[in-house]
Amino acid sequence: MASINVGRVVMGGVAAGAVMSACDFVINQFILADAWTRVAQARNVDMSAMGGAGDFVKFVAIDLMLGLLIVWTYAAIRPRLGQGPGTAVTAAFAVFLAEALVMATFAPWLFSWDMFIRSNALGLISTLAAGVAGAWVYTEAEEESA
Amino acid sequence: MAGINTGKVLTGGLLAGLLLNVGDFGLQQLFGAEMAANLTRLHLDPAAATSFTAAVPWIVIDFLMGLLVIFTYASIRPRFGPGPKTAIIAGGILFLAVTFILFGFQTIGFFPMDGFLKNTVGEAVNVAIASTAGAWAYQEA
Repeated sequence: MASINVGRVVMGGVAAGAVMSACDFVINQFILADAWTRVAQARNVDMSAMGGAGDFVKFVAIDLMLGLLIVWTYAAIRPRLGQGPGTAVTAAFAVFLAEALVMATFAPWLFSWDMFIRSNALGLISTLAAGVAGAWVYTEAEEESA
Repeated sequence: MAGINTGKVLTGGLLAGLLLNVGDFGLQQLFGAEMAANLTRLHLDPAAATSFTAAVPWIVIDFLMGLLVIFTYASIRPRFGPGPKTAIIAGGILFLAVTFILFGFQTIGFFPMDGFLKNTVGEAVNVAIASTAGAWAYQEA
């Protein structure tokens, strides 16, 4: 079995991370902005400290790491499930499901079920779109040389 | 390429889930006081958040995570081969996904950095043990 094409994982991961960052920006700064503010106020968290350049960079970096993880997972499961968008969705969904399951353990009392469902429904769309975009960029080394 | 052995994913996943539950119970005992202090800071009742009712979703979700870990192990096996190294890779994928998201919540201020780091190290060990045990129970058809 050929090894994973690391260069293409990086390229695909950056593409996936860019898609996820763009989606998350729209989701959290516009669609769910008011809801997040209410959660922060209820939980004694100072959201006004957020929003600086440093925090923006942190969230872009998190999305980039998630993008790399999704494309690396896509590359890892490709020999079993084949190449293409179906496998990309499987890889992205596995990563999303792990996040969503853990969030479900504390979301009901930290946020609310309503907030959990809304943020995860939007997050699912963002993650799957990122997975498909990243996988579209990824190719095996022997495919590149062919 | 043979398909994934669903029966063995269930067997291995339930074993991994059981061990994840045992590990999480241990971490709760170890860091319970710090968690309670953080819950109070967040205007939450520690007694309610650590009640049996609140624990039920944790228990169910640990079993679902166990199944996901072993499904991931079965999916990456043709690439990396069978064995504990591949099992740790499978667990590592899901562990990293969760850790990245929790780091985001830590950044916002929902968790203190000290508690986040301690739990992350504890969960890394927990996931490595559970995924290795679950993968041990998995075989191709």
